[in-house]
Amino acid sequence: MSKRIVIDPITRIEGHLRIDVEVEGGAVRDAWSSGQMWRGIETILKGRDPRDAWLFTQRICGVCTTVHAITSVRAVENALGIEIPLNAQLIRNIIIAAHCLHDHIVHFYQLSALDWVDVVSALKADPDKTAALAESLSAWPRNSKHEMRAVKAKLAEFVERGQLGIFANGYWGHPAMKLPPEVNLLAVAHYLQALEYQKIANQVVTLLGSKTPNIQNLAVGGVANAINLDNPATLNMDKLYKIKGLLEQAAAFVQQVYLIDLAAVAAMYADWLPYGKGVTNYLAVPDLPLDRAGKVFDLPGGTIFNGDLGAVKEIKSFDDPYFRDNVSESIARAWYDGDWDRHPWEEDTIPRYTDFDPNGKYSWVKAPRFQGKPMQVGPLAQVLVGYALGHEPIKRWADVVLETAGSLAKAKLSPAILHSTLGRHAARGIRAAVMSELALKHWQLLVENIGKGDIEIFTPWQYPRGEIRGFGFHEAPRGTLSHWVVIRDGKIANYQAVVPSTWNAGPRDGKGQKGPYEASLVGNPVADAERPLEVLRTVHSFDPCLACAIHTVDPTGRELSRVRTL
Amino acid sequence: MKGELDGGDPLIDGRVAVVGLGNVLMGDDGFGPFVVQQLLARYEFPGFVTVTDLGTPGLDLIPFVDGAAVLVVVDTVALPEPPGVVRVFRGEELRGAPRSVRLSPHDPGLLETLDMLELRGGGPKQVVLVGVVPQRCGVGPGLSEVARGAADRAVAAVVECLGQLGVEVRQRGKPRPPDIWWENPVTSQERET
Repeated sequence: MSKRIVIDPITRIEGHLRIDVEVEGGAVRDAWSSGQMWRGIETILKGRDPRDAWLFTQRICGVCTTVHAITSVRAVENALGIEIPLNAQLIRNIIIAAHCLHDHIVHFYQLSALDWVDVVSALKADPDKTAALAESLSAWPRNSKHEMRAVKAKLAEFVERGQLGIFANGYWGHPAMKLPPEVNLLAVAHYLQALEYQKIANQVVTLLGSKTPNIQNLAVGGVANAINLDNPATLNMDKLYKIKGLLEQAAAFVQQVYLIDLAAVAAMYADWLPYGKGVTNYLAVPDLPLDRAGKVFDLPGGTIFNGDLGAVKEIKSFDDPYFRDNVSESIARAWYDGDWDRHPWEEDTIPRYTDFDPNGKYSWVKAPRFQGKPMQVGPLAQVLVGYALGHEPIKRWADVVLETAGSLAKAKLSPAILHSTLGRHAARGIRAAVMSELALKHWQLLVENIGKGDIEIFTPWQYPRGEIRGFGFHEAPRGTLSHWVVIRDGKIANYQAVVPSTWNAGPRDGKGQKGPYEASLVGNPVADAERPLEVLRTVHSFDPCLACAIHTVDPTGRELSRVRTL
Repeated sequence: MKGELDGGDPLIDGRVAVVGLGNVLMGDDGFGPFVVQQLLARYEFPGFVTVTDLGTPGLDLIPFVDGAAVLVVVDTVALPEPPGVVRVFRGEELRGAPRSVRLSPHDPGLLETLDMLELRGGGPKQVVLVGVVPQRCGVGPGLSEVARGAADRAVAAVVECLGQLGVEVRQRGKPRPPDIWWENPVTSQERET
């Protein structure tokens, strides 16, 4: 007899991610991912000046602000066919890297760690043993006995006061929780330290973007960060050195704590390595451009089909037709009028809600496809593409994780294990480590370029008459993000954003091909249908960001979320 | 665009943080940001008070709340009351609500952020929520007339609440025009950046 489990947070007025799984014999037999994706941006932008688009698109999502802003200016610049000054690229790159560090740290510790870490079990830990274990794994200075004792005492006090609300739905005591108490205590200590380091990374975004979460320093054609090394009101030496110091602190945390914790979790949950593979077509776009035109990059992009790393195909520039011509979106199973599969420039968005029908339409999320195929996006896609292309930093950091986890698990781990739920987490850490190096590299490049006397930050341009089309992409923390714009006589005629979570959380298409969430859940174990921790593990490994639309507080304590078994 | 307060860095010097939450592209959900712009246009705040429009940050609230001794949030609230009603919630009234299932980074929000900072130590000692019941939160920028009419009451509630905490805010001699850019689009080039 199969059972249907529905995980459905209902905090928002409209829209969120909903996961339905059919469970039989303790494992998921079929899955449906349904969500509210932003579906009105083109209506809001039509007729506006394309120079304003980035201000609006960065409001699509409060977590992914910066990434929509950057992708939007890239799309308009692509339509105009302009290059931007090197300083502008590098300043954007440092913002991109710092935002990514902040985002990856928060994702792992504050959103996902509790899927693997049993907080209550940490109370049984011997803090001195925790410190000894931690010091054997990493040179991080904040793993001392003193630190671990203090964290345990604080946690005990919190539990005594009955304040475990924060960990509600953390499913402590669940049979799928396997870490020894000492490791759980270590993870709690790093969970608290992560609060500091994600903030440090975010300060870099504030210093360059002039504000966060919604940055103010962009312009189509460059950036608005005036450079004068001796002027306190502009980007000067003092600010630049402050940025360097912050990036170094964030890099140390990523390399000495985050990456090591990931390796330890992967090693101690080695039985989980076979789960969560799903769609093994991968898509990543190149990022961190090193030139004005966007033809040379520090992060690689490309496609892999059917897990075949040998046949990787590279995406080479901001204007690469291989990307431009092969993206489409299907609405066959989404609540829009029609059942087409169209290129983003040709799309429209006419909502037509019908009930949740697993055999028909069941989501607001469109199903993006590349050459008609579902693609997994995210750090794992970029790490695999980089690994396949022989990208040195990616290969080096991937090997660090595989070797550290392998030595703890006493097994030889190959990159093939990355096609999994744990692999997505590991890849996020690998990417964070690569980013932490590249952030400092791009800081150095910026300082050197300014040192040569180049203070250019903006390329002047004019709208041509008639119609122009452009696309911009960015490898965001959650994966490939692209914006598509059609401009007629200097006004926006169409605008579509194809966001990472639509690639991953999208529904089936006209051919019945499942999206990556859906495919990855099939075969996933479920020990207790009332507490489907294992389903959350796999969904969280994608770093979902769907409920972007609305923020409302419910102070009255109505039912806020539910897990239903049917 | 960048006023002396608006441009401050809440991460570094914020001790009293007033934040507006909500999505300016979704009708009344933009109430928090709208009220923040009204506050900045009409009042002068001491240097240790930051007034910021944060959008819909979910867990990304952490860096803005961290380091603030007092947090005043302006947001829409789900209440069984008519649209436009403004209510002020404090401390335990807020913290008692159940937490949601964590699926995306938006699901943990204000309450979870406060919990995390409390566990670490150093979270805000006082938290006040000034909430409005929204009428329309559909796609498209711009407040409903009902929500617009409630903005002055929310502004007054924030000022009163700061006064009770001993924070003096002064009315500007000449109010500035509020920067409600999402309702009155201008080109980037015309904006002061």
